[in-house]
Amino acid sequence: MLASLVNRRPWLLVAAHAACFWPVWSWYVARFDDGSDEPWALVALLAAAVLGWPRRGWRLNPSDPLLGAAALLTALYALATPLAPPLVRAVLAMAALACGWISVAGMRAKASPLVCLVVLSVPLIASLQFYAGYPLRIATAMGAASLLNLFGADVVREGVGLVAGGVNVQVDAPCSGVRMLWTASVLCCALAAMRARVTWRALAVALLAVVPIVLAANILRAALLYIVEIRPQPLPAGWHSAIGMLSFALVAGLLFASEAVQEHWAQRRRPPALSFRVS
Amino acid sequence: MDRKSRAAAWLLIAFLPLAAIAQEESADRTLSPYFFVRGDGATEQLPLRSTDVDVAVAGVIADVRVRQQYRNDGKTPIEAEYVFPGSTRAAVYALTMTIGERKVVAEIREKQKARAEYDAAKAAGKSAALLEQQRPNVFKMNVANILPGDVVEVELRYTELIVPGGGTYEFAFPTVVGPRYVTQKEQDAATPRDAWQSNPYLHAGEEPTAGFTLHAAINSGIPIKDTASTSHKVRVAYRDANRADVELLPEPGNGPNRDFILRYQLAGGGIESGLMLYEDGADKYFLAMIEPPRRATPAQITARDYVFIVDVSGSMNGFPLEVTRTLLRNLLRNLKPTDTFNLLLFAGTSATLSGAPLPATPDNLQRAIDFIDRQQGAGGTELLSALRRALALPGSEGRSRSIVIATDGYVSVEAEAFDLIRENLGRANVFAFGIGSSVNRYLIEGMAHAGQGEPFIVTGDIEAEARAEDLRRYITSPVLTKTTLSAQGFEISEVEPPGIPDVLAERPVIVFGKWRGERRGKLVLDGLGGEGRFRREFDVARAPSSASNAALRYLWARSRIQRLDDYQHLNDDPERVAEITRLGLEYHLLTNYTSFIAVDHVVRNPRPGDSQTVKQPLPMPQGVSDHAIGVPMPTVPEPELIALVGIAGAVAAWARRRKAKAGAG
Repeated sequence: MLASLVNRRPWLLVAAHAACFWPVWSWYVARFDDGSDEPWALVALLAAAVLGWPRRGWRLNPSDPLLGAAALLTALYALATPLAPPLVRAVLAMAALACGWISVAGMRAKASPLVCLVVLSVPLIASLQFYAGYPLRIATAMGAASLLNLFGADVVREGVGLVAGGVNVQVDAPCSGVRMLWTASVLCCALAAMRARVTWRALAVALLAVVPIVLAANILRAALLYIVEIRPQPLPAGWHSAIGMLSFALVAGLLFASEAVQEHWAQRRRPPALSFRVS
Repeated sequence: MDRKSRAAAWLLIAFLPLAAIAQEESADRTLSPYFFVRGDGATEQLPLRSTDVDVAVAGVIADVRVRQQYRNDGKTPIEAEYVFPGSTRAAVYALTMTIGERKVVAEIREKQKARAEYDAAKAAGKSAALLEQQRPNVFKMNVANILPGDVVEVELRYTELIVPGGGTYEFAFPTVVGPRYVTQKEQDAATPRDAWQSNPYLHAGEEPTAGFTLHAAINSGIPIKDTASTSHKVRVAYRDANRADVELLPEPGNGPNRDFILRYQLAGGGIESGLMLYEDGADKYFLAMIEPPRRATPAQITARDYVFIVDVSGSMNGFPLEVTRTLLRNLLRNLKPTDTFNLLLFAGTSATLSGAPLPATPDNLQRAIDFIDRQQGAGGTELLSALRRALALPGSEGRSRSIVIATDGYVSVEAEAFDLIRENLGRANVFAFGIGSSVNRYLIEGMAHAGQGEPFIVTGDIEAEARAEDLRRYITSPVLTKTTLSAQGFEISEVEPPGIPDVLAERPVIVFGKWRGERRGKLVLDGLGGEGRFRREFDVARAPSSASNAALRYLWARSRIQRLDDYQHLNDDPERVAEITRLGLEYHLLTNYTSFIAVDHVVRNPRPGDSQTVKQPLPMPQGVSDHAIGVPMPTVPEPELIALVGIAGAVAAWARRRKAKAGAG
């Protein structure tokens, strides 16, 4: 009877799967609610839902390897529960849920960007800031100092500070580029999910390319803001945001162009459609 | 359960509440200074109304009377807490509290007992005053139960020896404790009662809120001349050749936000040297002040290796760093081409000019000047890690090392710094320069003492040049070495200091001690000066002895306490702690282990629980900027996530629309 119900309404399976992860949802809500992370990360979940919504209805295909992946990830989640920190458990749970959803929604061709989008919705910006923030800040300060020196400014990097003429401008934690990195990754996955078919390899390459693009934009942003900061008459605070948004617009533009190029090449590699001539 | 297990269980249960209390105490542990914020006026926030200072200098001894007036113009009873500085040589020997017509003379007690008495009086609604030493140059006054409309006057008295340097007598009265940098380690180790550094400060440039008057009367055995203050505007009136009155002018900008420094000289450029005696029954003390020989210029000056350690933290931002630059230029200019040097700048972190000593060539000297010119003064004052790094720097083969430190000393790790220098000194000497209008003289003097060098105070550019020249002279030729004091036919004991260190500066050798028996025989000082053997003899029978020398008791005890305590880490030495406590109680002196407590036994506040503790805001020392407490540094922050998500959303929507159009086409 249960099998018949699931066969008739496969979305029930997804709903039941999601309900199993109630401790993760509760942690999810608490984390976004206590100010420790950015609630805007839920945008990634929303994007995954919109781009991964079934076009031809819900279908259960028991032989789909994605269902097997969902089961494996769920088992890993269960095993990790007493040992792993909440963030790791949440990543496993969301990946498992995404695999199940994508299988039932018939979106297997774009599984990689959709799974990544769901995983990116986990509150991980604060953790990223903790682990990757300092190396990114050092790299940004080094790059910005070199860029400024290239244009004739005598700037010395001291730690994460840009120092010249007795003025020390800090590339502190909110300047690391982690937010840009996360948003660019989400955009990269969303653009990929708009394609008809995306391989895991293609997505991995695209996501790896996001890191140098964001780093370059962050270096440019830090160098421009350094020039703003050392002015004797400071500019209004809005300038900071404007320069930051301009830098990110550059990143978004590059990702869009890169996506267009990838799609173009993918179309060229695709075999031409069969044509029949009726004589 | 056997007996042992039951005992262990009960012990555990007994300690549980203690653990809970410990948790509670450690929860609130902010030691850092902060900016004063004005309230609604219901509670008095500026209880200290004035500080009036009377100084009487007789020969080489100053007797100082400091009157602090507290007033409550608010609507609720308050407890006033005021952290103020003192001279590092001050022997604080008395305290009185006056409320209306009632005058209470304070008692000296062991520190914990005094605190307990004060807490009990406060809780009972009685007015009380407690004076504690936090550092040899930092004191804390607590005055409990000052009722609305009350005026409470607290008077403390101290005496100190005025030691001439280079023929000039200087009396310094510090007026403000600069904001101290507190490390995380200190915060973690602190209890709430250690929080003397956690004071409210006025912003840089704001006038002090309390009044300040100072009168000094100088009385010397030799005619005096050139009496002037280098820090404040004063009026000097000579009563006769040997006596002068100095009055602080009541003008704006002439207030208590910097050390008050008074200087004068004696006719002929000499100093009042000789032997002074005091006897009161069996209680007999002496002071020998011996003028050293003239400095000789050696025929050959050996090459040395210098390490300059310069503080570029937030409190040095602006004027102090400008003075430091001038000082460093002068110090570097005085190096010989055969000398080597290195430069270490420190704030929250540190940076060295070079990994190895550099020859003092014009190019290298310019590099050093450029290195410091790039600094603006920001961040914390991680003195200990900078010292560790400097002491570990490789030396220069065959050259003795001189370590030169320039800082305002706004830290509270003095004892740790002294230990570090003492334990790692090797063959180096440490010379410490205190930069600014209100430096932590305890740190500066202590580092030089531990490093067998000399301290210098530099309050401005003009002094920077003179003090740099002094350093050059001190290093090239000591004034007196291998100095010994002996008594012939004169029975002396408990001499302070027990061994006389080498004399580098042109300042007298000072020896305190006790004596017994008759006033006869000789006191002899032997040493080796620049021009050969040096010897001074004093005929004890001809030495003046009068009741006015009673201060010698306090000065001897203070000198002993200084040796035992000021520059030591005493945590694990109960014998020395006991000795200092004994000296404090017997000689009625404020020490690290004894405090003054005055309690008015009338219950004045029926609801002591309603009393608010108010910390007196301190002015920012002159020339020190708000960076000493913390000014946000310029940064280059990313835009908010909402803005980034907005851009990404727009690009994604555009891409989707484009695809939809392409699909439809």
